Amino acid sequence: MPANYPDAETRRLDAALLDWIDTVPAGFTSAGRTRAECYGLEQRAFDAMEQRFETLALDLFAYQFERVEVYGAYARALGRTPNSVRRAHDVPALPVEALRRTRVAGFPQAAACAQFHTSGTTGAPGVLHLDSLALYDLALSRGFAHHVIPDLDRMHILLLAPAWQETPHSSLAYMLERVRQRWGTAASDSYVRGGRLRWPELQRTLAHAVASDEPVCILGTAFALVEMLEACEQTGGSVCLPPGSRVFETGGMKGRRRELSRARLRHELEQHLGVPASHVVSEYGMTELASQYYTLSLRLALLGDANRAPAIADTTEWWSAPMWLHPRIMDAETGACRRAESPGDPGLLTHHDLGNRSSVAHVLCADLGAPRGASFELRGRCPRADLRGCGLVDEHRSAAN
Amino acid sequence: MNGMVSNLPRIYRLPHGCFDAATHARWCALGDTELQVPILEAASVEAMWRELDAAATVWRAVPLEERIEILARALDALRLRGPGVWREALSRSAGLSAAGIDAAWDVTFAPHGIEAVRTALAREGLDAACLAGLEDAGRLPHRIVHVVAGNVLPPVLVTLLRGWLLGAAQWLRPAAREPLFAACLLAELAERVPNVAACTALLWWPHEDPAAMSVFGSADVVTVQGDDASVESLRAHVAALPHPPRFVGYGARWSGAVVSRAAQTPATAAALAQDVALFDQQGCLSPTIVFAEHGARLDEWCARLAGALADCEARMPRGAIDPVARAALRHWHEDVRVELALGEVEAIWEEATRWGVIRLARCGFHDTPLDRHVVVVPFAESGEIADALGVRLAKLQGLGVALDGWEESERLRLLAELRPTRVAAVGTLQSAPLAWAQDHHPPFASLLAPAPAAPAH
Repeated sequence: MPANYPDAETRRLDAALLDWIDTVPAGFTSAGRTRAECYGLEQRAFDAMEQRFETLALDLFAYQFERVEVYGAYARALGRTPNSVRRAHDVPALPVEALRRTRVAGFPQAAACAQFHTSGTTGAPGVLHLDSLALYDLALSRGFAHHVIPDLDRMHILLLAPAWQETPHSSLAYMLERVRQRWGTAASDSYVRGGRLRWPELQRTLAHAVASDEPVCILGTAFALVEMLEACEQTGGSVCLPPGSRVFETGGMKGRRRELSRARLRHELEQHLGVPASHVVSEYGMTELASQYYTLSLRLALLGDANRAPAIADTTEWWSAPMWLHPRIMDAETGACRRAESPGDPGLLTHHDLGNRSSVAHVLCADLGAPRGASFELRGRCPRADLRGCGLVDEHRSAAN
Repeated sequence: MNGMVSNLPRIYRLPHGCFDAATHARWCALGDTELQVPILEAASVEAMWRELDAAATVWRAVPLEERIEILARALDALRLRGPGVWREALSRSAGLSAAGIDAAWDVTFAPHGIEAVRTALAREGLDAACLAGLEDAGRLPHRIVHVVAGNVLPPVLVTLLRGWLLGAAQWLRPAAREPLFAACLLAELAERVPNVAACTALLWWPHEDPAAMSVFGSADVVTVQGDDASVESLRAHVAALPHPPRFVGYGARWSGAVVSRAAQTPATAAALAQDVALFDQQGCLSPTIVFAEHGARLDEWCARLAGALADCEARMPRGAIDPVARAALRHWHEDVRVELALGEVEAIWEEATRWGVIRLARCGFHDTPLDRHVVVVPFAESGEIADALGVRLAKLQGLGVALDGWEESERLRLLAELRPTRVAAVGTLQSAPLAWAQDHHPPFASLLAPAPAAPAH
């Protein structure tokens, strides 16, 4: 680790990444057949951007290989070093488990400016260490603007998540606070305090939005949205929000409330809030990443699709990625990664996120993905190995339900 | 497979839309797109019980020693013949390779020779006179229902064999995961020992099917194998019946091995690999964690174990597994590589995800994904083993041992501390005899009605 941090190499890399991430597409603009079409790019322009991704990815690998101790050791165990890796998809994907077990950071502790913790329910949380929020904020704001507020400068934002001050190590709370600051009107506020939904206040705000015909943007975790829907039902508080209103959901249920499929959640949001399914944006992200995936339906509904015959008719379960985030699927037998849209079996998803300069850019998670059109769809979580002993399945368990 | 299923004796399904999705998928995978298993209406269950009762009464009249001989001979003949025409279908049903089915078939039937069966009964004091006494006292079960888990083949045979020896009428609910072996066994026995097959029936039902309770409701004993939550769920359902039968539950258990320094030889490596490879490590007697006494040649032995697993893969390949299961294996391999980078794992031997051996840096616990993956844990003192396992010790089933060079007292101290239900030389762990007290349940006594309490004075 250089004595004077941030050293010239770090500054050079940051500048290159910031410059590039600031200019490339922050997400799809179309449900096209190829990624170039999805980004609305001519093939030549797309290829040039992909080439730049390759260069930056290899540059970043060399940087993180040297500076992130566990990553260097992991890559060496795979026999992959900056000298041997020639293509971005050969850059080793570090399992996110590593962030739970040790500090995964390419900078000295004293240079840290933020830590985000995963919400794992068992054992120590995974931690994303950051020495700068510049890349993180840029990736966050560009992706969010592209997918959730592509049509307005500011909106009345209703947050259904704990305030950033209450949960300073939550990447989600940080993201939502950034969004509120950047895109929220003065009336924007959080409606969760101490982990509880402030339903009466939220109900008044929703009623006021209807009366004033002001569209709102509700941002929340899936389980908070379910809590709101239950409150709507129990108090007769269903409303029909003004056109242009939208909902952003993230985070899954995590066993906190009754489980709702994404489709069912959309249906109930339409039923109780009058927000059409197309205006519900889902986010797929994780604490270990700086960047996020989003569904594209809202953007297409607001701005239209350049393709006359979209390759993906239903975009509600199909993930749009910014240009600097490459999803891949790891081959179970060889451990090699392929582009997520390449044909093949479902497998473990890896995310190559050039916004992750402070830790490790290419991570392997426990989510399963399968190719869909020019992107991917989620196929649930990889079953966790434990001391099962015999390979029993819970086929009888439904008898208890 | 078309046609074969419908020709089997006494194989039914309850109504309510037939099989659950998983069983349906299994049968379709076997090539039988039109399910031809006849429906048994719930109203007909009691009539079927009576048919089985009548056959069981005839079978019970056969002297015990003769029953033992008839059964042991039939099973031995089946073992010698091998899976025969069932090989391919069983291979797909069980998810094992064809060579894996051959080995599984052999190890399923082999332990039940005449002497082994006699010994199992004798260990619980069950001779002809004793059985007659139990019958007079109303303690012998006449009706038994079994629910099996389908992860390996032997429990299907063993549970039925116990009931046949006691002369009971039996229903067996095969698992969605492996629905065919019970049918195959019954079909074979119908040809060889029809009076045994006649007191047995197979019945599928979706587990939420209320009609299933009509089967449980008139049983004397219900045995259930499955994961712990499933067993407890069925226990609660059965307990809620108006006349609840006795319930014997077998939950999820695991097995391991302990290998002394002196026993770290090529022979023990090969034997252990065989235990691991059988049933693709899906059984509760499949060793997953190997405690190996620390020594200078431990890594050499681990490499031999890895080589032996590679040999097993060459002559008895692991069965096909679905993409999600393969992804889970890959995830485990990559997590282990992180642990290698952190110094928690000392070494990895692997062949893609076909098999894997990891050697921990120090004595501790590590999870295993099964499917021929072994964790070797070094230890210096035998007392470290129980400490490393902690609460997991309560679920220990079998222990393969190779303890050359140890004092007998040290061996006994270890076994007393670990309390496995089965101890066997490595390489023979899976060949459990009928006398084995799985989950610490005595094989026969657990099926009997309890003796009436002595009158209070």
